[in-house]
Parts: sequence; structure tokens; C-alpha cells
Amino acid sequence: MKLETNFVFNKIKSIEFGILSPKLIQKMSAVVVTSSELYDIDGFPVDGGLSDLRMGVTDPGLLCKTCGNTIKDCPGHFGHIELARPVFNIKTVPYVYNLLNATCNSCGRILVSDNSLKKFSEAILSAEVNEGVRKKTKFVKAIIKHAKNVNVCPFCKTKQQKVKLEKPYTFVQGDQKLTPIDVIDRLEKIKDSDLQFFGLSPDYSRPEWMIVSLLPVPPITIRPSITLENGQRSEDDLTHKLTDIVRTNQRLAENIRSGAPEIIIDELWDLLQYHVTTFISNGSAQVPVARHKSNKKLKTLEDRIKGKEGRFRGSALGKRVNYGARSVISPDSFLRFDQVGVPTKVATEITYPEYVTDINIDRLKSLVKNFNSYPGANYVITPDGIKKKITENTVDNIVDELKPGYIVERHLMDGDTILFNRQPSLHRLSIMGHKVKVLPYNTLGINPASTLPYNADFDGDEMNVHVLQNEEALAEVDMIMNITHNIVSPRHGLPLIGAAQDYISGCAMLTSKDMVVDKETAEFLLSNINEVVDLTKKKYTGREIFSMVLPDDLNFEGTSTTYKSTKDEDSLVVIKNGKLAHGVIDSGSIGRENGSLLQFLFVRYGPEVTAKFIDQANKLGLMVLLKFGMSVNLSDFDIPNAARQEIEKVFEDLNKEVNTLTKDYDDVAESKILSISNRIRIKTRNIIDAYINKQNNNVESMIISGAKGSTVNLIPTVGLVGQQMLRDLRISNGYEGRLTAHFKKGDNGLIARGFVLSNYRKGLNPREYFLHSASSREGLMDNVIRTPISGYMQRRLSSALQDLKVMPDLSVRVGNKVVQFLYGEDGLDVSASDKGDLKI
Amino acid sequence: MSTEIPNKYIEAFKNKYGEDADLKELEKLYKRSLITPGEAVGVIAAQSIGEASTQLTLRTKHAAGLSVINTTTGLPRLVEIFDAKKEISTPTMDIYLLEGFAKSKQKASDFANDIIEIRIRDLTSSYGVSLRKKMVELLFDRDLLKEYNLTMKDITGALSKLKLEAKTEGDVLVITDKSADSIKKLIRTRNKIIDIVISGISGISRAIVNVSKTGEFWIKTIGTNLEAVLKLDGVDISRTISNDIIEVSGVLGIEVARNLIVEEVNSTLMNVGLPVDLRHIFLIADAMCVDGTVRGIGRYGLSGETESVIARASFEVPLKHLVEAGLYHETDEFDYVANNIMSNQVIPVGTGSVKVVVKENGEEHAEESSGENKE
Repeated sequence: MKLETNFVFNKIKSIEFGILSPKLIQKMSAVVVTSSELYDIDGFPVDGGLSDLRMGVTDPGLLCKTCGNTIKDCPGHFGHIELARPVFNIKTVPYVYNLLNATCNSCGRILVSDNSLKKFSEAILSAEVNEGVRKKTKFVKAIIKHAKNVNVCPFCKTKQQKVKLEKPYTFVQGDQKLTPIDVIDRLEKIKDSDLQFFGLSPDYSRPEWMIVSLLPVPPITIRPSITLENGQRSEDDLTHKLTDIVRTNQRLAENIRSGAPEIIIDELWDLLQYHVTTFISNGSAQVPVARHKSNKKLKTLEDRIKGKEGRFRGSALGKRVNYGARSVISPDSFLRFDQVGVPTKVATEITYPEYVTDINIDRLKSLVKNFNSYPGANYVITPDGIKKKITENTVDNIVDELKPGYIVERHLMDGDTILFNRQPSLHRLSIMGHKVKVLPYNTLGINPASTLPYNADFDGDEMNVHVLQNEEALAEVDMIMNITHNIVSPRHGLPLIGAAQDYISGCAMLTSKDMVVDKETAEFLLSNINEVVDLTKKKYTGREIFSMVLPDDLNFEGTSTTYKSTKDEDSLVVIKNGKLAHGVIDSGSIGRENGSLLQFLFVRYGPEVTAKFIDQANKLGLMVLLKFGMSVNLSDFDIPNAARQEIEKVFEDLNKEVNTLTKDYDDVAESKILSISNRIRIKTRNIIDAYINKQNNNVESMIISGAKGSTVNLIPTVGLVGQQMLRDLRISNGYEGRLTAHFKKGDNGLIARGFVLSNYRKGLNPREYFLHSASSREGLMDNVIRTPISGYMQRRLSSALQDLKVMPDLSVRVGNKVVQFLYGEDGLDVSASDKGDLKI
Repeated sequence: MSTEIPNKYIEAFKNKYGEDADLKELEKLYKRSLITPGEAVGVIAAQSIGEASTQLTLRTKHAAGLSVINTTTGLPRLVEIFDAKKEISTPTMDIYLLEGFAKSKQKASDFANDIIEIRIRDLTSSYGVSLRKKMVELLFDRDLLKEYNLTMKDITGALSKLKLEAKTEGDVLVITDKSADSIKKLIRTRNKIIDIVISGISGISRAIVNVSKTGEFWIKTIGTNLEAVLKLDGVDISRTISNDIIEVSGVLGIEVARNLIVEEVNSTLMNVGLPVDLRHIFLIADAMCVDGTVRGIGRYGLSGETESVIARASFEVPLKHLVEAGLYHETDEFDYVANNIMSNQVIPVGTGSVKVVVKENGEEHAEESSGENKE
């Protein structure tokens, strides 16, 4: 296999748009299509048919009659059909309509007096020069609107009769129908000098070209026929439509030649118009949709271009790539957070092309020799671009000829840079650079610490890997896209990667006030985080241990989540010269979307230091839990009987209040009841807070350290679940006058309208469970509806703002238009500063 | 490049490290914190808001209690703002009062009652039309008239604009419309009459007095008419605002509209606890207002007005844009993101916005020009 070496390095600098003139159509056409037959009896393409070999080839083995190339190299060539009578192009009908009414019936001049024209032409010119071609359309619209209302031609003084458009494509003047021929006559009369006022150009878009008299036939290469298993040929939808056009055109031409009656000709002319219309756009308003025999809609030109799967969004903006892998993800806390555990199966399949140099030649040779196991190599590319597969037979030759200048496509190895991605890719942190760690599993491994930016969990999520194929891409990923460079989110300047759950519990336990570990434990902890320290003391405080993962010159003061609930001054974090003087390291310091210490480190010490700290702190937390253990007991959710009774009393008291309200039930009472049910919740929360066991309760300690859960979660778990709502109101539908058969008609009390008195600890009774699930389902439906709405909003935002960029003077511009003179009004980067500020 | 360190940072630095502290450390920190030239800040802003919006609520949360006005929040409000909708779903105003009014609850609530619009419809107990006599008959509720301190004279006075013959007979008002020749026309006249605003400010259907933490009374309304309210005596012009961005841009100008977009987007996001840095919101608001009018972000706004044909076509309704590009002989200069992605070329943002210049025989060659010479 020979690799293409003569790449075209030219850039597309610009594309000019215009409409095809009949002359141009003729010039670029390789063949006049005259026959509706596709193949002759022997199965060969008919000359002058729609599969004419001059338009290109789709069968292997045949040669193109125009360029002489085979299927691989022939780009295809246009043909054309000479229509017996011209027809309208459905897409230009509105513009033709404007032109007919804005120009004189008899002399073809624009219906605007010379004086106003002068003004308009200056305005158009200055708009085009100063604001771009796009802005001139505004004036064009104004001119057309102006001209449409003129009744007497200012030039030849003819009185004007307005043309009406009967959708989709019939023009009527008075009671006279204007045929495409009449319209061409009218449009041809428009002077070149008047065209600028309609935004048109004499060289690129003469108005009469808007009407189809020659129809370009697209090359066969874009409408290939496929041979089915039974040997039958199946043609593309475009070919089907073109056959219709050719056939109708033939009949029309014959009838004209033989002098058939007007009605028959008009009928065929209409049919030709219909076929050409549906060829361009199958599904315009008021045009019947063209269908297959099986009633399936024909996919014609517009369908190919528009929509999500169309040419623009489906093919041109979204591309398929090689060197990718996808698998289920699994958590692996023993990986660094910037690593990905890649299965050996994947690593041997996708490769990295490494250039052979004097330095790496021995290593690469041994990889080539080891081609049939890991680590090995799959292909070798010679300097003249020939790609050779390494097999049992070729391996010896290849090893011998390998020298600098060759490329070896070797297996993925530890430390290679890859891209890691999870869909939906909502922000730039959904695709980041990671390092490979090849592991003998079948799933992709990822450290749970780096799941948040991807919004990944492990209930079956799959993620994608892309292997970079050149040094330039590699350098960009390592220096910009790498996950260690994206610890802090550009959205709010908080770290998205950090400790969560067990990591926090562990670190909080280690750094709590009276944590002391003996030398042996300290050795265990430190050896697991690869920290080499000479341990001289017999006992160490937990804070001393934690200090060993901090940078030596770090000075930091911060709050902690623990402080927020305990108000214990000792839990405030103070770090002096790399030593944790006091403070509990919890979610407030190292938690994700929270940790102020991580954010501080990232801005001042850079990605590498922060990354190392996160990995070590997490591992430390994990090891602490491994050593000391942490578990949750069902009794952690128990509250004393007194508390239970208090909650019940709160409910009973307020329920009485509700019962008096329901006697005189109206909207005002309802809103009062709602606020009462809210009050029950708040009071319950206070009771739980006061009574729940705070010592030796790991649920409580997780809440305090911010590892998981909150007191809000405790209300339904140990207190009461509370009012169930549908559409922000108490549940009201179901049976007539009541929710279920358990209740009396017209009862508007708390319980009868969906107040759940039980808690999760005790369990819900069936009717409570039923109503609870009704309001849970609402949440699910809400989520389903919301996703496409916010998705579309984001697409529009991205599309509107994608070209904005910061210039070297820190202004924000799109093209040469200034949007902001200084980015964000102070030029600071959210993720590179203290949340858009500098804390000194 | 603006590398001058803002004074506030220098002051803070000197405060901490002494008057003659070496500013080098600060300069290093400041320069590192600046945005990188070339950064595609638009996309970052769009993603920051877009990613957050997936977690937004869909429904307006109803606060309990009748004396509270519910406004659209969450995702629907966000979409509404970015669309630059002319008619928003819950227009509302925050009216602040000058000192004389703001401290007195009575005066504030009097003010609130005065601005509520009262239409003829609200004062009648019944009305009817007669095609034979070509007239509209309205029966007014005497108690209501008294409550709003109105007389029949006020009503006939307000009707004078219509230039129709009006006669009062006690509580009944008879209006004759000679031009009405069909029941349809007569009913149209009737609707015109009962829609006439007798007192208050047109557009404001409710007004509720609130009290701030500082003990100041202010008014929240349903419906807006900023122009009329700002003209009233006792209104604090500097703080009174509507939540209708288009209205505000018309009355107070584009700068205020821009700030209102920022304020509304930010409060919508903060309400649900989704912090998004103000810079991103600034950028979107600035992009929407950069031409002097508020433009939405969709097909009929920013996205539909890009200079590049291909970028426009790739968003929505591609064929329309392609046909127009052909007719108007447009040229796509390939200096945008979308068209370069399509043609597998380097996009002109980020690392793609810089070129390598190679010195060859003393002459400078940009990287891409060497490619062009190959032909």
C-alpha cells in the first residue's frame, strides 16, 4: 500500500457564490442527457442516459470517458438536460416575484426615479464597503418595498399592472398567467446597471438565470447505483427523479414538435415543473411530496443538505475519525487522576506512529520484533510512504531495513498522551488529555476524582479514547488540553477535580483535632503515597502527616466545611510554611467545586504541583479509611423516641390548624396550607438537628466534613418525607374529589392531599408510596423535556459566539468588529486567577 | 497589551508586604492571571452558560402566599432573554420611590393603587350593543366608581378621544356609532370603548408594596410601562427598572439594556445556585448589544447575521442562505471557525490564530505563504 505523499498544501482562501448561467451549465457539462433509459440489454450504460460513462463511473473496472480515470480517481462530471420549455426554480420564486413587481412591465427599468436611485446607490455602496456584503440586503429590501408601490414607471411612463404570486409557483398578471418564458422575457429586459439595486450582479447573477432552461445533472459519483444481492440494480433517489424529468421532457418535446393541442402541452409543462421542483426540494409548501412506490419520501437535493444528518451538520462539521476506542468505564483509585486505564486489547489495536531516530532505533526494533504480543508494533512506513504490515513473514526484512526516517506504528504504551471524552460534550472539559496506563482489563479505568468534569459515573457509562497521531497535536494536548491544566473550571473558577466522598472523609479524619498515629501507621500511609520521609518521632499527629504532602513554602488561610456546622475555631485551616498549623482538611479545602486550597495552589503553584497534591491527598484519605475503617450503621439514622414524639406533635398541632382552614376552603386557604406544610418541614429539621446523635455517627461526620449528604437529606430519611407536589401544587387529581379511594370526597387536609408522614427509615405505607412516586415521576419527565431545550439554547449560543476571540491587546473581536475593549472588563482569566480576582 | 497592574492590586500588595515591596512577584502573578490572546472566549462563555443550563429548572417556582408576584425563572427565562423576545411572559417592574414616599407605607400603597390601570371594563356591571340603534350601552357600578373616586364625567372625558356621540343617563352610558353598519364593527367599537384606560398607567395590572431590609417601601408590579412610570412624581428614576429588555433599551438606551441582560441572567442562574462568572455573561450581553440594538442569539439574530455564508448555512435553513449568497454574489473569506472546520483547515482561534514566521535568506516568510508557492 502506497501512502499519498503529494499532499495539496494550498489553503482555501475564499469561496465566491453566484448562480449558474445557461452558458456555464453548458460549459461544465460533459454530456447532454436525452434518454431516460439507464442501461442497455447487456447492462451497459446507455450513451446520453443518466448513467452515461462521461459523467463518471461507479463500477469498479470501468473507465470514465471524460477523464479516463477509474472509480478511485474520477471525481465525476456534470451533465445537463435541455428542457423543452423553461421552468421556475422553486427556491428563487420569491426573488423573481420581487423583481417582477419592482421593474417596469414594458421597459424593464427599476420603478424608482433617478434621484432616489442616486441616494440608494450611495447607501448600498457605503454599506458594502463599511459593513460587508451582508448589510446591503437591508437596503435591497427597502428599495424593493419602495418600488413595489410605484404605479407608473418613472422612465417610460407606462402604467404598471402588479403581478400576483399564486403559491407555489404560478405568476398571474391581471387574468393572464405568466409562463416561465414570459418571465424570462421580462427579466432579460432589466438593465445591468439596475441590478445593483436588487443586490444582483451582471456577471454572477443575471435575474433570468433564476429560471431553469438548462438543468445541470449531478455526476453519477454523488448518486451511485447499488447492485443488490440478487443482482438487481437499485438506483439513487436523485437518479429516479432525474429519470422522471428526462421522460417528461421527452414527451413535452415530442408533443411540441408534432403540434399537439395547447392543453396537452401545458399539462406536460406543469408536470415538468413539478418534477424539477421536487428534484430541488421535495417537501415545499403546497407541492405534493414525490414518493417511492413503497410510499417512502424521495430524498432529493435539499434533503441531502439540510438538517442534523445533512451535508453541513452531518458530514462537513462532524467527521468520523480513526484511532479511537470506546468502552465501559470502571473506577480505579490506584490510577493517578490524569491517567486512563487502557485495556491491552485496545493498546495492541490502536497505534502511535513514531519516527525512527538514532536514539530510539533499538527500542523500536525490539517492538517490531515483538509484533504479535504486547508491547509491539503493527505497521512500518518507509520514507517513500509505503506502509508495510508486520507479519511472521515480513518481520525479519523490516527489522533489517529499519533506519532513521522510517515510521513505526507501535502499540500504545504507558505515558502516551490520549484524549478522553464522554458525551454529551457540554463544555470543553468534556474532552481532555490523559496519560495511558495499559492494564489487563476489558474496561477503561478512570480515577473517580476526575469524573465530575465528564459528569461520568460507573452505572454503565461508556467513554471514548482518541490517540493523537503527530507531535504537534501531542504538544497542544500536553500543554493546553491536559486534565492537569484544566483542574479549575473556566465557568466559575472553582476546581472540578478534587476529593469526593471517601477521600474527604479520610482526610477529615486524619486532620481532625486529636488524631495521632504511631510510627508504623505513618509509615504505612506515607509509603502508599510515595512520600519519602525520615520518620524520627514515635508518634505523629494527623496534621503532621498531612503536612508532608503540602508544598514546603505554602502559606494559606481558609475556612472549612466543618467550621460551618461546628463553629470550632480549631477547624479553620491555617498553613504556615508548608505545615498545617491547625484546621480540618475537608470539602472546603480539597472538595470538588468547593476546595479553596486547590484553587489557590493551581493559580500560584501551577498544574503539576496541584495535580501531585490532589493525587497524594486523595490517596492519603483512602489509606486512612483503609487503616481505621469507616462504616455506617442503620442506628445512625435513629432518633430518640422523644424526638419522634416531638415531630408527631408538630404535625398534629399544625394539622389542626389546617383542619380549621379546610372548613372554609379557597385559594387563600390553600396557600396558607402550603406554607404550613413547609413549616412542618423546617420544624422537623430543627428537631432532628437537636436530637440526632453527633458522636460516633459516621453519617453525621460525612455531613459535617462535606463528604456526602446534608441535613436536608436527613429530613425525609429520619423525620418525615413531607408534602408531595405536582406542578408546584399539592396533588389534586385522581378520583372525583379525592386522590385515591383511601380518602373521603372533598377532604382537603394534609394527608388527603399527599402529605407523607412516614420517613424512609421506617418506610412508606402504600398510599404514601403511590403519591410519592407521582411526584418523583414529575421530576423525571421534567428532565426529559428540559434536555433538548437547553441543548438547543447551547447550540444557538455557541453558533452565535464561536468566532469571538481575544486579540493580542486583550480586546475581544469578531472579524474586525470590537465586542469588548478589554476582556471581562479587566482582562483576567477566570480559571487562571482567583475566580476573576487577585487575592494578595 | 495592557500589562499595567491595576492600582487596587498594587495597593493591596503594598499593604501586605510594605511600601517598598518588590512588585516583581505581583507582576508575575498578574501576568499569569491574564487571559491568553487567541482564546475562544465566546465558546467558553456559551459553554459555561449552556452547561449550567442543563441543571436549570423548567417550571417557574411558585412561592407560597398571595401577596407575591411570580416571575418566569429558570430555563424558560434564560431562553427568553437570549432570544430578545419582544413580548416576555411575565413583565414586571421594580419601582423605587423618592424619600418622601419611600418611608411611609400609606404613601407607598396609595402610589401603588394609583398606578394600577383601570379600564372602563373594570367599572361596568354589564354592557350590550344594539345594531338597530347603532349604539353601545354600558351600565356602570356605582360602588366601584366611588371606590376609585371617579365620576361619570371622568368617563365621558376619557371617551372624547373616540369622537363618538356619548350620553349619560344616571349610571348608564349610551354611545352611538353612526359608522357601524354591521354587528362586527359595533362589537369592535364596544371592545375599543371598554379597553379605554380611565385612570392609572396602562399596562400595569397589579402593584404590590414590598419592604426592603432597610425599611424602605418599594413597589413590584405585574405588567410594565417604564416610560410612563418614570414620568410620575415621587419615582426614584435612578433605580426604577423593568425586566423587559427591549422596553428598557427603548426607554433608557442600549447601555442600560446590556446591564439588564447581565443582571437578569446572573440572578436567574444564582437563584438556582449555579454560579457562572460574570465575564461570560458580560460577553454574551455585549455581543447581543454591540450593534446598538438588542439582538437575539438565534436564527434571526446573531447566528443569522454572521459574515460567513458557510457559517450561517451550517446553523439553520442552509438552502436559504446558499440561494441568497448566490444571488447577492457573496464571498466567504474563510476567516471564521465553521468554514475552516468544514474544509479541514486550521481554525483562526486559539493556537490556530498564530503563524510561524521563518527567516530565510534574510527574508521573512510566513508559514502558509511557503505552501502557496508550491504551485
